[in-house]
Amino acid sequence: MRSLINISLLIVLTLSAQAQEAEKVDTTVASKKYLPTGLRLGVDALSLARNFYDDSFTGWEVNADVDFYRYHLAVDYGYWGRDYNDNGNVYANDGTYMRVGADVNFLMKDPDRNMFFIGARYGRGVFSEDLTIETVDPIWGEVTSTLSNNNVTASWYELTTGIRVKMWKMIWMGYTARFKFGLNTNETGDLIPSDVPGYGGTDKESTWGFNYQIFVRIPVRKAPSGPLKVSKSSKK
Amino acid sequence: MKKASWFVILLFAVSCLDDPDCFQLNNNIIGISFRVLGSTKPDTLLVVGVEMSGTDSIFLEPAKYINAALPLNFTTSSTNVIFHQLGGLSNSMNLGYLARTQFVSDDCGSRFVLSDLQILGSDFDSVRVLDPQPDKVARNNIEVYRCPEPYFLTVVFRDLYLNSAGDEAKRTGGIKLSGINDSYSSTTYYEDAALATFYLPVDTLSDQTTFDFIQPDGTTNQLTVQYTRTYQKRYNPCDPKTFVTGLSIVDAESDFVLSEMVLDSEGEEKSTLTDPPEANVYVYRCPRTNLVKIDFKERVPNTSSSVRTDTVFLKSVRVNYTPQILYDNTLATTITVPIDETAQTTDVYLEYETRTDTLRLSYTAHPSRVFISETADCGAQGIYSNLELTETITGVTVKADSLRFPVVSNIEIIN
Repeated sequence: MRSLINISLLIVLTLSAQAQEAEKVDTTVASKKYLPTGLRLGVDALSLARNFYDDSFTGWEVNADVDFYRYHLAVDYGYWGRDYNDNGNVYANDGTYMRVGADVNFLMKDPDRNMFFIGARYGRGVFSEDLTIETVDPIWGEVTSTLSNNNVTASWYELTTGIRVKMWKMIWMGYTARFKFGLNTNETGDLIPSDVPGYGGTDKESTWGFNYQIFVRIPVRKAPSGPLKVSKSSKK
Repeated sequence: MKKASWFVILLFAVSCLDDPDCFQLNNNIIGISFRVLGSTKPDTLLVVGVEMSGTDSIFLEPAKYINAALPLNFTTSSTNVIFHQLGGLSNSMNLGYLARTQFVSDDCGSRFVLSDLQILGSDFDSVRVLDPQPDKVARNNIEVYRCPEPYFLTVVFRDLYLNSAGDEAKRTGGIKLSGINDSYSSTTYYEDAALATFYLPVDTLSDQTTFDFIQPDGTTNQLTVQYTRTYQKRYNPCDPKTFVTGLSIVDAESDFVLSEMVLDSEGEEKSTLTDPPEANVYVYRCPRTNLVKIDFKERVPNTSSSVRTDTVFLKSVRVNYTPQILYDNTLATTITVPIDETAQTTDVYLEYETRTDTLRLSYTAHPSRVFISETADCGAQGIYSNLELTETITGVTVKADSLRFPVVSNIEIIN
């Protein structure tokens, strides 16, 4: 229920901002303004760094987005694996995931085309996991079990927010905060998924995620002299 | 620098990550409640222990239970539960469920998640699953029904007394009995029992039953009830039973000054015997005006005058006018002792573990009709005053020299 409220608020805010902006649009440039001006390709630095400071984690994530005026089509692809061995429990998983969604930029007047955005994603991953238990329960005695899930498909939704900042020429940095919810997995065995690549721990109905990203932006055309340039020229 | 500040917020965001809670990870607890077919009221099971397949542990302390919380064996997909009951009876049920496993974290290990609870087999009269989802704490998952045995008369003893305003009042009061005999068998119920409520089986082959209530001094009081019997099969899992209705009191002779049917909230007599049993008959007794209450106290350390309640072990408490032992191997903070109504003195023998104290009491009796109810005449009863100790014992003092009913503290013994 809380997730639905969050989604509703996001949509209302987005549409409201969009309506105000639309009034300013010059109809003569409207037809061209939705053409992409550049492709941004990036990598998640947090995922890479985590390989060094978190012994249980292996993974990486790449990101890309392309602009359509104030809207950005965003795609993420990644791999992650976890490996635990403690207290009589040996757990390992690995899999790949992909997210597709859109972001709405709320900084249209920024001269450097920096972004503050709110968006949404649909996530989907395929993963396998194994669990071996060898422990002693005070009531039921020795507990030994080996369980696995193979090629389980998971899907979920995300609300995102974050920034993209032009650092130097084609180099951009940014971060994305993700509120993840609505996880669905299709396992059929006696092992309940513990950790879904791209989503995280399954012990709660929703979870948070963060990316700290470094991008290279490849321009494909000059930005039209629409609203993006209006604000810049008005300063002169 | 300005651009770098855009990323400061990241530090705050990352701090929101949290760890899972390791406390009580498994949801393998089920709740079982006990019922009687045809009744909405909870039943009581006298359990001496519960065995469960997969472990040598014995669950549940010996006690009466109206519901029980038990853990299921999460290492298998079924658990056989055996209830050992008072009297050597045993009943079992085999429970099936889906047991799944989930790794939680490095620190917590794995948890076992149970669901889809079902009854695979049972030799209880009837069992049903109310809620198929076990939990971390007991919910009402399973109801266990037994066939009714609706032929127990419930007799409740009550004392008549005058309250502080001088008005007639009644309250439940225990009675000590040597036993209760019925008119149709050689069975003696409640031998040497001190209770206020007695459950007595009526004769299901006759329309009338008489019960003899035998008091410790040998006095016998009778209660006779009559009723209508119906023999029928009411519930599928049960054999035909005799159901008793139209119960009424025929006769009650004795110093039970008044016996009456219990009324329900709508003013109707509770003339049907039910299972679980409900009070059917109130038996009233006249006020006992000859009771001396003795309190045991001890001094509070490091104070000169403060005292507090003390618990003492009494091997026995007796009085000089009857061989009856009033208290036998008892831990007590207070005792109530009846004085001799036919004399002006009574000796009370308090036998502790290492010594015996004798309280020699004297008093003045004033025979009087102190209690005349609209429906019960208790006749002449003594009013006792001027209570004194004829021999001084260190630490023993008279706090109130008049006897009352309900009792008041008359004597205080400071050890």
